[in-house]
Amino acid sequence: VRCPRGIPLTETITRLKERAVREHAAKWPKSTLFYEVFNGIVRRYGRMREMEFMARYLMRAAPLGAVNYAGLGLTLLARGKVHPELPKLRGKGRLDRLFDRVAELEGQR
Amino acid sequence: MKYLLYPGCSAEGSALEYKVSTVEVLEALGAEVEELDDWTCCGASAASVQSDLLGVTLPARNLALAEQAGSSLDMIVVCSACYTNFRRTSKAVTEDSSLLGTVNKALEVEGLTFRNSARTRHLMDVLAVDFTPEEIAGRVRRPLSGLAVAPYYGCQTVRPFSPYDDDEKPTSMVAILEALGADVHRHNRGAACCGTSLLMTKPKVGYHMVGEILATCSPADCIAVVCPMCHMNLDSYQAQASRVMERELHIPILFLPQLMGLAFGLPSSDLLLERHVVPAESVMMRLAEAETA
Repeated sequence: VRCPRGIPLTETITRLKERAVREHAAKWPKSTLFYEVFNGIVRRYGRMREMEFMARYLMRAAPLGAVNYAGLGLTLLARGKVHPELPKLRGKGRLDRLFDRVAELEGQR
Repeated sequence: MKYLLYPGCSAEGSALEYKVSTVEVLEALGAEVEELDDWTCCGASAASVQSDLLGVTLPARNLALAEQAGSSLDMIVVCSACYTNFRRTSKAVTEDSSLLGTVNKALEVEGLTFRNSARTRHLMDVLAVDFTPEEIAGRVRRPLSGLAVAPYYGCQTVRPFSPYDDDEKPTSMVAILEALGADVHRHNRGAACCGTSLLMTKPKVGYHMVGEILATCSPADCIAVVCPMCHMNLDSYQAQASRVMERELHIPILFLPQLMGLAFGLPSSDLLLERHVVPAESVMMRLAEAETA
């Protein structure tokens, strides 16, 4: 798990992902979808909504494959581990201002 | 002893039992726990992919809140990904002072200032360092005698930030489990990766990673974990992992504080054992057998 030449592996992977998203997101939308959906939910609610995330991600990544997760989803619901919540589609997101400010500062860097 | 607690999104949702049992156990050990007010997501592994600055600003927002809440208090983090993000942010602004200024320009819209003085610690660190095995043993009312437990730490609990344990062969859970009266199943996959988001993005790869860990731990009666993501993956995908590994894998996954709570004699309503996909009944039966033996 450690590079013999001391290359920080995790940070390097993150930088490569960041570059891939920046330069090729349109070309390979599925590869970047996970991050796009995740960050969209955090921006809107401030915190992750696990069930909404799974539903949004799976329906866009593999609508037919989503059926494979139906059994697990029902089990998690039955155990009380996830709760159905109606998505909030209107109004401002909890972290809109922070995300916008970061984007503005990123543009200046 | 008083601590701040940053639960993180999972411990407020799918792993609520982790947060509840953590607070109960720390209070049973005489500690006071105060949840960080108005916390938001740390960004997990997604924010830094969208933007380098976002990846440090989201953790910094919570660290600034922690500083506001009480600069002398350590903030306990129960999720290993959140823990890594907080530590990574502190390290980044320490190494690059201009970054601290940029982060604070971003935080202005939240009315916050980050001074990089907040101290974050993983729950594993607090349990292993702040309480001696004798103190933990002294609180035990129902020893976990006869229960074989396989400790599993996951990667981000000890890598890259591990001031309290070895980053490749961690052992900090062992003394705690022994203090509870459990038999520790020693194995070599304690710091292996659980697959994290691969279970959704590349499921077949993820099933194999989960299967390897479950197979290595399977001689035990249960696996003890200290990360909600590890718990979700090891608990929820055992059927799929069994198919990939071509052998039956069925083993309860408990959070370490749940096992501590059982040994402390805390009521099961405080431990929420019924929330797991793989039922914990076999663990309870093994303990009942030991009691009647």
